[in-house]
Amino acid sequence: MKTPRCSSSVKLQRTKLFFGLITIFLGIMISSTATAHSSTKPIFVGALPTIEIVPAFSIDTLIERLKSTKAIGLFTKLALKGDVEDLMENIRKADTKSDLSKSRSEFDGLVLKTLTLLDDKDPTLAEDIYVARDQIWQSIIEDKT
Amino acid sequence: MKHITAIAFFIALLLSFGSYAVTIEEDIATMLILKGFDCGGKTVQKINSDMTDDNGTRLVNATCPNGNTFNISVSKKGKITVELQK
Repeated sequence: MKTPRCSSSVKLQRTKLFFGLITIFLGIMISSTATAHSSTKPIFVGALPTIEIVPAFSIDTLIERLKSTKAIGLFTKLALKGDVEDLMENIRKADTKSDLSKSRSEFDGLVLKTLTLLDDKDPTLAEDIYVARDQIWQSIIEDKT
Repeated sequence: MKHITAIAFFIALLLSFGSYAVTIEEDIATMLILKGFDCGGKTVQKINSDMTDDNGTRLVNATCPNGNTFNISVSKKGKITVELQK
């Protein structure tokens, strides 16, 4: 029995169909692989050690941030600067421990004022100043000695 | 949907930047309160004059909501002096 011979145009159509199907199949495979990768769960499920990054304290950076913040106006910044200069003068003059503790309460009051001014409009800076308040005080005391 | 979210994000960002700046009226009132003066509000009612003299000192005259008027001077070095006008 003779098999019917295909004409060259039919062969060409079959070849095109074959390659078309292969292209579609590969496309489906690639997309499903990509989806599978994106939805796979992480390999390590157990508790991984966390590293807490604590930014290094820099009083100069805090001062620059205070100078450049738009949360406080120019007049208020100058008033705060005047308060800081008065406080520094008091600390320089302080001889006894009680003088220093008085200056510390003045410093705390000044920090509180600054935090109140920053609280709504620059909470990040307020938080950073609050966290660094003891270090700021230490650096002031070190300057004195 | 993504476009709408992006637009909403940028509008929120712009609004947040806009609300950052403090007006001079608010700034002066805050400074007066910090220095222990009675202003009767969070912002001064009127800035009557704002000029700089020959020495580079800025002189501001402002009236608070409670009627108190202040002469504020800012020296070249940034020292603020406040005087209640009688």
